[in-house]
Amino acid sequence: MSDAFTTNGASEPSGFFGAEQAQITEDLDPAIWSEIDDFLANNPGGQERLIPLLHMVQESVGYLPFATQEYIADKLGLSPAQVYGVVSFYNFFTTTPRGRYQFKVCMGTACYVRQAQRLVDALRVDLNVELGGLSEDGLFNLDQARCLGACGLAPAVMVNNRVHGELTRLKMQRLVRSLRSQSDKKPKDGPDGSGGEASR
Amino acid sequence: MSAEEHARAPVKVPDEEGRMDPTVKVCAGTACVASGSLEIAEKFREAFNGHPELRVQVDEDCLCGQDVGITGCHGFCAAGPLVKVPRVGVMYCRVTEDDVNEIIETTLAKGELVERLLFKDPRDGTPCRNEHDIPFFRKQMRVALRHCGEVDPEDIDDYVRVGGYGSLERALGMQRADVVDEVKRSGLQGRGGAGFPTGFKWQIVGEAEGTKKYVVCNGDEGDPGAFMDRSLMEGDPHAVLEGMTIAAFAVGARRGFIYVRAEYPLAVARLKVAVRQSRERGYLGSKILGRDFDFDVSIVEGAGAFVCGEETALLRSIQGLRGMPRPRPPYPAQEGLWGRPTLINNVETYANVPVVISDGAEKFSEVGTELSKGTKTFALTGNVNNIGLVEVPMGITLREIVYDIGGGIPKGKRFKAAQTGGPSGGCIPAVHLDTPIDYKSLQELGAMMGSGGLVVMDETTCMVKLARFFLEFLVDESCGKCPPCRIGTRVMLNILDGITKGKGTLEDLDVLEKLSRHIQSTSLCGLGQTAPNAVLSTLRHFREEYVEHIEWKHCRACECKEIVGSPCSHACPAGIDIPRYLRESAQERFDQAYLVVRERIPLPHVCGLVCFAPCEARCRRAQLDENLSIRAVKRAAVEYGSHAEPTDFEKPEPSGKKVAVVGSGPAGLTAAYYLARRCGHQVTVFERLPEAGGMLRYGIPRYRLPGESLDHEIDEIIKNAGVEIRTSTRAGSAEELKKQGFDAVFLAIGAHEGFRMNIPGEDQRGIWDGVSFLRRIAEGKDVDPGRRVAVVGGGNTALDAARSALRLGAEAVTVLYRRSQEEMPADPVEVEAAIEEKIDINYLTLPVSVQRQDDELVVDCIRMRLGEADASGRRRPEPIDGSEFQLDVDSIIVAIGQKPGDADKLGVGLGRGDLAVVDPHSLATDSDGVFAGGDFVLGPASVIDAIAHGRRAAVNIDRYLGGSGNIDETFTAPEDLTGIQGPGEEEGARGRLIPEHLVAGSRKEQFVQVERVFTKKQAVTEATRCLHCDLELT
Repeated sequence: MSDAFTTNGASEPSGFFGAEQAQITEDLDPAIWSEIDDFLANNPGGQERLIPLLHMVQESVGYLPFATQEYIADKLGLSPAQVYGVVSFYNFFTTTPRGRYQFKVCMGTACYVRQAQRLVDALRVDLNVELGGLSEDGLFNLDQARCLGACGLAPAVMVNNRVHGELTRLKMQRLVRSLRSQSDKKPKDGPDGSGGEASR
Repeated sequence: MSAEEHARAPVKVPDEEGRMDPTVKVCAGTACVASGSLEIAEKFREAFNGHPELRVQVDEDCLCGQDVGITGCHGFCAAGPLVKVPRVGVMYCRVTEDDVNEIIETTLAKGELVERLLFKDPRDGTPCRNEHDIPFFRKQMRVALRHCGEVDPEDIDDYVRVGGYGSLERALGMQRADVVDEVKRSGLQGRGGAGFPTGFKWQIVGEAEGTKKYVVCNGDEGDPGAFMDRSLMEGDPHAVLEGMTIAAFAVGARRGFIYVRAEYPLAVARLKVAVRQSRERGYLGSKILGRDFDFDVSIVEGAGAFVCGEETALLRSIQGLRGMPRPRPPYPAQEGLWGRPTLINNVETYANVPVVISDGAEKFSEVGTELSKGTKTFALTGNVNNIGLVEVPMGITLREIVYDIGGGIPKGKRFKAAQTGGPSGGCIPAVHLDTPIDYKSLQELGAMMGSGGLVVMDETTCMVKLARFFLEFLVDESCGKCPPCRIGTRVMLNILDGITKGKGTLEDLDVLEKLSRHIQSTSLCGLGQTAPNAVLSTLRHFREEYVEHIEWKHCRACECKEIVGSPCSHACPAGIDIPRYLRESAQERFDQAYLVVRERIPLPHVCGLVCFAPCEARCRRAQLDENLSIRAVKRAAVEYGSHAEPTDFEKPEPSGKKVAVVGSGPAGLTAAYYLARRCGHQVTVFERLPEAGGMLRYGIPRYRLPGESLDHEIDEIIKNAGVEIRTSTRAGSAEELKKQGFDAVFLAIGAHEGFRMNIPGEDQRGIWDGVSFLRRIAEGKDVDPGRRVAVVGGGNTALDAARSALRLGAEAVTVLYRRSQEEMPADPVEVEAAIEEKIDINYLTLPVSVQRQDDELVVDCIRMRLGEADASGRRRPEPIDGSEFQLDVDSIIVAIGQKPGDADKLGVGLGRGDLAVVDPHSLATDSDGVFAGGDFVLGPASVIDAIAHGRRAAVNIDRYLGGSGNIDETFTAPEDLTGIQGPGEEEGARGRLIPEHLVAGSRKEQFVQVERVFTKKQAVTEATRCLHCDLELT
């Protein structure tokens, strides 16, 4: 398998996962392969590195194309099925591209009791996207999340890493509008929002 | 030093313990951050640059403080963002960026408080200066959360300054076995949910063979509604680390892992900072605190799998595998990570450990109950005023948590149940509010302590849908390994789904219970074993809701979408198409609106005047701003549109059958109307009083329901349908009526006989029964209650009597009700009107005896307090010794309940309270061809309930007589819905309009109608607030 992954991307696209994945592999930024190598070099160990590594790749690429999974499998001495088994088990990992803004509506009990379902329904209309899907303009993903732990602010929605609370349909619409106009100004950028680092 | 002096002092000095607090402390818990607290902190920093006199001056002897510090979550999420100014001892709530300058200029510069930013006690509005005053904090005992809200979670020095790592130091000077022993004797139990004795687990790991052992912290707080561990990890990460390090020492481990959910990026970040700082200071790493003890910790992130909260699944996840549980034994304590002995404990458990070591086992175990020692954190959320994070001693009651700490239920709703233990737990209904919370008591109730999620629910939560919600969560999160969980829970979910969609059967409930027991006893791990809990628990405490969904396609909370069109119509016992008549009213088509109402009831004006409007209690607009004044719009529609009454109609074919209706109240009149007008039967109504109307005439006073309005509808609608009403005529028994040639009988005699107080002195002059009192007034007889009147009771009859007495010339009317205001059954609108009319309502007061002294009556009364709850869930009132007092009055009116009078003379089976026993669907009694409804069946209920019974009786009587039972009437064309939109983006908050009332002073001497009808414009304005829930536009 490893000969399929030279960094010049000139090798035969792997037919193992189909034509669409083959195209994705070709389009991948080749920096990812060295990012994976660096991660493994800086973190010696065994299979326990798999999940942190998958997090890193998904953070970087935006999702986990099969080509990356195969590469990781090879480097960790696992079969691609084992890696795919882990990827498919955990809710966070995805093998399809994500939108610029990932809406995760909290469906925890407190938010549910405060009518979170109605927010989901409203968002499906406003973002023109189905649950778990990507909007046509590639901007928005809509998912339900398990409890975000912001119950004091029910109902809550996490947009990328930022939690927005005490939402009503109106506030939601304003937020969507501001994100749309933001994305018009910044054509391509990393994920919006803070919260991933320490607060100072 | 006074506050002002403090504020002016330019140099900050450390306190006695050498600590320095920042000038301003801003809460940086997740909720406050999401509400903008970091921006507030930044604004303070910028502002301090412009105010050098407020800055901290650094002295070589003083530890360097900061101007603005952040803290972890205080738990008071409902009032955030929170800002504290320590040297003035104040906590500000709901702070915004715009408040920053005012806080600096008022509090920091002058030492004065900004009143509007203080928390106000909701009971009386007193401003609260800080945690000591705020009721939310007063009953709490913050042990695990001791530093949250106080220290900067990203500054290890702050932690050390408040005594942090002192316990570690102490422990390292002890023998390992003694540390384990201390934890054992403290009685500390695992706080993750199962409550396993912590010390015992440490002992097992400590004694296990092998030199390579691990210590793991379970930070995979997955229960929806729980955020205790999150707040701990974000707010006091060092407490967790210290506890883990002590544990590692005690059991002989050298490596530790903290497994944190991926949904908690801030917790991960703060823990990483804490670990780094700990290593730098020598609290982690090799030769900790100079001893021969090495220990280091890695932070491991989860990836969104609830099942990884289960310990064996969690360990597999750390190892980079699919997080699927495995059978136990062997337990992780013997074979855990990579097959080695592993201690795994919850975040909160570790946070308690330093306290156990520093306080000692004896002191620690002084708090709590016999079997559950210490305190417990709870995430208090849902329909409760003070949403937030609390910590309380074990043994506190649920009532104290919900009401004293939580501040009760918002928006005037009532407590229905509290869910503990997340999806694996169970619900606790109102009757058990006085249960002391501990592991055992909750288990006995069919609930579970769980990790600490406590979700409060009011009557707008459907318990069936809630069970379905939890089950769906668990079906999703099931790892799929064992069939009972993988398949069993899915089958249960399908059944529940059917029930919420109105497709369930009663057999389904048996299947659910049987399946639950199988799944509980055969699942591999805790997820499956506890998956049926929510269903079992709701079935146990709220079975009637399941039955209502199945048998009546009714969801009393109006939540289940497939059964409920619009909640208002669903809540209306007569099923009136409310959104439609609101739409017609919004377009000033009042005649059409009138006809929409008329399609379902024959007494539209009566209802428009006096219905207690169950629709309004479910109006969804309340979630936006306030519910609609539906009844008032209906009244306006009727008064402006009743000319459209279809008086000319095609009379139906006479059926040749005769029906006797006994009683001309709303139930009897309604049944008579439909039986005559739609079914073609010959209907005779027997009414023993001189005029028709029942309670409408003789119970509800004229200032609420004018006689002319009632007459009009009885004449134009009921009699116009061909109904014969024989007033001043007593009917015989049901058998006698059948002998007279009636083919069916409907008994709607109401409940007109008042209960007695059963106290000494009750039978004497000047003491009236409430119903009789009101009847005499309605009959036009002379009634003089005197100057001072006492009314005993708290229902609508009592209030009607009180307000009537006022209009008969009484100057001082006092109502004595033995329970509290919250429990008073009278319509709150009536209570408010009574208070406006200066009627004195004495809650928690009971008359004990009456004596006559010359011209007046002396009533001995005693004050009551609320004791424990009885079977109905209401707290039983108990007399307070020594609180006796006397009331001098001219008359007493007793209105403490009613039952049907002379019911036994009718010859049908009676149940408790002399109420007729009927089949709930057909209203048939045990006597062939004899039906009963209204208050005779329900006890004193409402007009609309009686009307609904009248409809149901008509349907079933017609069927009994061989007809189709179809009483549908159509007076309108199908609605044209083109162009109807939901509320637009501009729709901001708009409060409800309420009808104008006569000024209280001008009401008294007359029985003039008090409420004015909406003008057309008002009706239109109010009607346009409707969200058209039936169209599901929003």
